[in-house]
Amino acid sequence: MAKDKVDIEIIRRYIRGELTPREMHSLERRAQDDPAWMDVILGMESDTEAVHDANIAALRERVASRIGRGRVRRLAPIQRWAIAATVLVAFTLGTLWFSQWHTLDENQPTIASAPADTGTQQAEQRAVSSPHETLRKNAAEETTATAPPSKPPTSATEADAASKSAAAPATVTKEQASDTSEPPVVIGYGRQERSGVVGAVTLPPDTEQTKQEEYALNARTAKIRLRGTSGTAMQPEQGLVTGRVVDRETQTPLTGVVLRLSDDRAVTTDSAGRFTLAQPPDTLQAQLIGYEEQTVTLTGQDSLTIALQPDVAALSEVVVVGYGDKRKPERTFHPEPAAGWKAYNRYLKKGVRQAESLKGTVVLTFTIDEQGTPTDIRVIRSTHPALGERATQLVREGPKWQPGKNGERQAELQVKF
Amino acid sequence: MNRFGKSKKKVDDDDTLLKRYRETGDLTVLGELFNVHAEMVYYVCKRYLQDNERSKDAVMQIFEELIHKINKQEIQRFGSWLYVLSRNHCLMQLRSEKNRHQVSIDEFVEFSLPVHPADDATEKEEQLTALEHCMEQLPEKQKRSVDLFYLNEKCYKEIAEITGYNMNEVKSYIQNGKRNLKLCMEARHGKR
Repeated sequence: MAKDKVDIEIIRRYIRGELTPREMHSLERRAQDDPAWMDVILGMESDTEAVHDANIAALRERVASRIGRGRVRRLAPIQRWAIAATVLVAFTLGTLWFSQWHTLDENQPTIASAPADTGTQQAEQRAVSSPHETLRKNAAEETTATAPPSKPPTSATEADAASKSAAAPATVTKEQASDTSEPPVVIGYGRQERSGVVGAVTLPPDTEQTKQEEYALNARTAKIRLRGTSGTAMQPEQGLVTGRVVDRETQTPLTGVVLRLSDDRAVTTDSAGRFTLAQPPDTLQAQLIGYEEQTVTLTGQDSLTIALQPDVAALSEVVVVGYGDKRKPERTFHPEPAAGWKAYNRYLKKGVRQAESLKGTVVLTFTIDEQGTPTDIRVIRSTHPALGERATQLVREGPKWQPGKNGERQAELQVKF
Repeated sequence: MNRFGKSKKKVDDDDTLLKRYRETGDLTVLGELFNVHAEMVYYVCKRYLQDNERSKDAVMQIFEELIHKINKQEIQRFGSWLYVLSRNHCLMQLRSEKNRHQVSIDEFVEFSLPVHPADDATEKEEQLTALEHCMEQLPEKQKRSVDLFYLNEKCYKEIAEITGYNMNEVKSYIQNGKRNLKLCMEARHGKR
């Protein structure tokens, strides 16, 4: 290999047919002498340039993510939003709770006794109209309709009830009117979708109409913006699905699982195996090398755990070869012939010689009784029934045995004919 | 990443990067070094494994292997070393398979003739006679292809045009002719 680097570009041009015959020859010559060049040429010839380019681009990305650039990150934007949303929710809830607690003791008795006519009417009108119109209309209507100071809270509570049953069923609307002496306060939360924004404004009767309109609008626009952001977090069952992917057998979280959603999006799990989906699809497919692919159907739940089955078939076979000799069993713990193995083998040999006509091996088991006589002799394996019988006879009539050192009375014996 | 601009000034670049990586252990540096040769590695994998996905996976495995081995071995020329590593990886993978891919053995034969420079004129003369003799022994098609390729310095395409064989035939005639020549030369050398 004269030069260290295979010149990819010239090979590319060679395959495109852009080289002169001389150049082609010297390249071919080079490839004959240098297997690296030959391999690259053959590799490049095996597919089209477009395919190679796509593969190489994908590889560069994979190498980049392997060495730590552009890694992790993937879930970060969602997480950041989640944190922001949580803070907002906490803030909103705090304000709500605070103002409720503040006004409750003052307003409660009035709510209980108030008549409901005007309130209901207004609430229905509000619910039907679009949010932007509502802003102006409400402001106007409210001011004209507001009568004695005791009424505003009533209309607010009624509006609550009415809007629930009317136009937007998914929307939860709550209004809280403050005491008449304070500037108008509108607190509410609802879904992000604009169509569902319903609300009411209550204003003190003694202020001028123009001023009231202003107040109402200001209060409203500010609150609507707030609704937009806090809405998603407040009703997670509608917008976000969180979950975890684990190994079915070990229950350990799996990192980097690719979840392909039915609407062509994809997310991957983070280092703790968690994932978050905004606007969940109907189904998703979880894929990870070494695991079986799994399709999950979402049925409206807001969290789920996916357990992946390890794909055993994906692992290649491993053959382990061991060398070593089989150790002979510790004789001392097994029963032995009372006169020792030497004598016993001599006896067996003599007996075997008498049955010369057949050849084979017989394995017997037997129990040694108190007198040392083999009893309960059984043939485990025998090449011929006649040999089995002969061996049984030899052992039964043969010398006495003694139990093993630990009192073992069960013995096994192999007789060769 | 600039794909080709780098290839010119890279002969010492490899060494610098390699040295820097060994000093710092920074994976980014190694990634940079690997990226320079990534295409070569990819094409080698592609040539042996044929399949797109398998080739890509193999390249990544080779990268892992590289991380593992780079500090354990003396590396003179990174490019050549990486090529050998890549090829061995692919061959190992093919070998471990049950249904092996078909890789023609011809392509692994290396031509070792130019490796032995003749000691003196007589030996050179002898070798030339031997070569001539061996050329005569070759089957006609191989002889023609080898002759055109090595002696007349024609490229495959030209040989195909001159002889009327197709490109693949030309390639295999040259391969086989080369191998036969080598065997013949060795046999004659052994006799002396």
